[in-house]
Amino acid sequence: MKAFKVLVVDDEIIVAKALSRAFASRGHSVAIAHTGEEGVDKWQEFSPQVVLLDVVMPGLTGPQVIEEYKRRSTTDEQLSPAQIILMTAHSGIKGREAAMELGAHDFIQKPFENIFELVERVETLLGKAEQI
Amino acid sequence: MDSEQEANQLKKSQPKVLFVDDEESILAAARRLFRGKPIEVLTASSPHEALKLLEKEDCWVIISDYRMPEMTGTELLEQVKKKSPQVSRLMLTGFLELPIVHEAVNRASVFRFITKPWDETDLLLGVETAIQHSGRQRTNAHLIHEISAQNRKLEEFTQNLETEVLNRTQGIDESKKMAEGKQRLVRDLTGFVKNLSIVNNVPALYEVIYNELRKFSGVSVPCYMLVLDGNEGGKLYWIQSRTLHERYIKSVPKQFHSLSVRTSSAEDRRWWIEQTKKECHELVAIPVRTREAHASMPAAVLFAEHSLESAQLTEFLDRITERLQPVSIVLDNILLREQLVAATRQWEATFNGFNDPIAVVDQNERVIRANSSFFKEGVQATEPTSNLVRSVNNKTFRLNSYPINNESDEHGQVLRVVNHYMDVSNERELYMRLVQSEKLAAVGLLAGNIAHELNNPLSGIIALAQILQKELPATDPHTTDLAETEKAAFRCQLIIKNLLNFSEPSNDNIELINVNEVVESTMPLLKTALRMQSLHTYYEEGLGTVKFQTSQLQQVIFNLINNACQAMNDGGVLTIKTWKQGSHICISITDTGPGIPDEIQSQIFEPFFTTKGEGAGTGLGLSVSKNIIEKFGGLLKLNSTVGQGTTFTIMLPSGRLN
Repeated sequence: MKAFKVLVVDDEIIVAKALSRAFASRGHSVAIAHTGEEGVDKWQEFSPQVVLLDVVMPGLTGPQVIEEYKRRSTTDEQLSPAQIILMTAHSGIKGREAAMELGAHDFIQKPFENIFELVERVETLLGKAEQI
Repeated sequence: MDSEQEANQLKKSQPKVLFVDDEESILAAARRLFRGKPIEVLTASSPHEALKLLEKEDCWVIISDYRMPEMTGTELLEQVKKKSPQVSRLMLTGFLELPIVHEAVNRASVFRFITKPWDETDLLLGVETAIQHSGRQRTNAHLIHEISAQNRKLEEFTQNLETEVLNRTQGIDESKKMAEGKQRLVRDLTGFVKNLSIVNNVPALYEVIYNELRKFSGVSVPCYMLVLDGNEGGKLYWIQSRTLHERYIKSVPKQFHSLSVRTSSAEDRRWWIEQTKKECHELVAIPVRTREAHASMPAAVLFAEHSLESAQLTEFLDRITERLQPVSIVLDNILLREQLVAATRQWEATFNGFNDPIAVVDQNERVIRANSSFFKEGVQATEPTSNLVRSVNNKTFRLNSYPINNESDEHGQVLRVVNHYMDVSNERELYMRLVQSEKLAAVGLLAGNIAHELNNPLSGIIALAQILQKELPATDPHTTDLAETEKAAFRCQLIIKNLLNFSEPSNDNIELINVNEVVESTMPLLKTALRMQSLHTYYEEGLGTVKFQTSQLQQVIFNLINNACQAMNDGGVLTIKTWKQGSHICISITDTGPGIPDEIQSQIFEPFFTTKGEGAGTGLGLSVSKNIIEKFGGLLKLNSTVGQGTTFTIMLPSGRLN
């Protein structure tokens, strides 16, 4: 399984930390941002392949970050194309719909039941994406 | 000849002596004899001549021969005795025959007999004696006449006197009668007025009038009385078979509104017959006026059926009319009093008919008058500090005071005030409940937000615990601690999840849910509530599912368990059972609290009904729970015994999504 670059954008420090360590333990490289703006900056810097985006954040929200990504895609400041996974409180079909609506590719329901399962899911997602 | 004339004659003339003989020679001899004597001699040759003479002349003495051709001396003297008894009667006779003498004495009461031929001395003496006798008789007769005359006069006088006395007596009698009559009338009238004065209602008034007029004969039924109501109708009173009858007449003909006495017309009589079912000959209508100056119709009308002649009728009317004034006064008073009583009653009924307590108070907050609601509610009449007043049975009233403006004292201070108490207990309760439920809703929202907020760090704690557990070697003693940390965090998440489910309004869909799971998931939310109680649970396995909304079912179960816990303040036993019954799945929640009395069992499902104090409960729980259950085709049943406890049973149809 390939290693990829993950950007975690979440204002909850312990969540960001946990996610980071989980991904790192699987051999991926992780960048962390605690705000939307920081997230955009890091995205530019880090060029991740997958972005885990929290929805509610001070400053730019998750969806706003996605918008910025879209806006920039037609300019020279475009951000690296990445699987955007929204971390949302909604569950099930609604969660997916909501995520899609906001421009993400998928969603993860918060709270996480098992962090490692989550990591595996992301890996699967990325694997699929790569195959396409 | 009257006495005076007679007296004169006696003085003036000589006594006349009449000789009656058919023999002229005797007559001549008589004339010769008495020539020169103070005696006038008259002669007659026959009895008839003698009688004729006697009619003309006033003779004292008559001397008659016995044997005469027409009649005997006796017969003549008998007639003279009859006609002129004052003439002394002598008889001349040739021979004294005893039978003749007897006869003469008996029949003619002859005074003396003179034999023929006579002895002159004898004759003279005889005549003289006879004259004297006659004189005496004349005097007697005169006296008798006089006496008679005087007697007659006396009699006359006496009679006149008697007549006078009689007249005078009659006069006195009459005036006495008149006076008595007047007295009687006055007594009658006074008696009538006295009877009137104790009358205080219309039927009694009518009876007094009736009895008074009954004294007047010629009137068949003394009277009927029609009391007019001031509009179209009136009440008719009459007495029949000694009982008083009354009847309301809707429409009285206008002619009886007249203010003057009216004798009946044919139309009147027709109406009368219709009303009374009686024929009447004549009818007279007598108005009883009211004392109101500008009245357009009388207060009452007296009707009298009669067959009186006009003179009697006039008398009758006079009698009635002189009694009308006191009647009018009494009737006025009665009607006025009736109106007053009716008005007072009406006002009191209105006043007492207000549901709200009302009191009229004076400047010192003393209650002058209050309606029945005021006393029933036991409102405090003291000066309230706020305008909310408590009542005896714990209701809340808002007090509004209205001054009575047209009665102020000299300083312009209002003397009396009307206090109106509006029951706002419900309002206040409603308000409190509304506030409470709003609070709850707000809390609900807040809870939702908080839950979301909590989830975040919790995720982190769980994730990190999981990671650390992976990174540490399995033998590391910290791994167990980390495992505990993870579990604890999970529990938090569960609570939060349940809380979110509970507080979010129907976010989830109607689905087939497992009852046991739902019940179990609700329990953690009630850990604090359950802390004092012992909990026994009996969940039947394999119950299947029900068609419901998870959050809603949780809400119901939460509410019921919460109520049960609150009912058992200081510990008790809470029993929760689930089981299958026919096509229903049942959940029962039983507490060992004080139970619910029969009389309020039906009320507890009503919105806002609560036995908890102000602000403690919203009273919404049970009514909402019942609504939710019924919405999904289920039933909420209550079973409770005071002193033992309460069981609520939810029965839900086992479900299959269509």
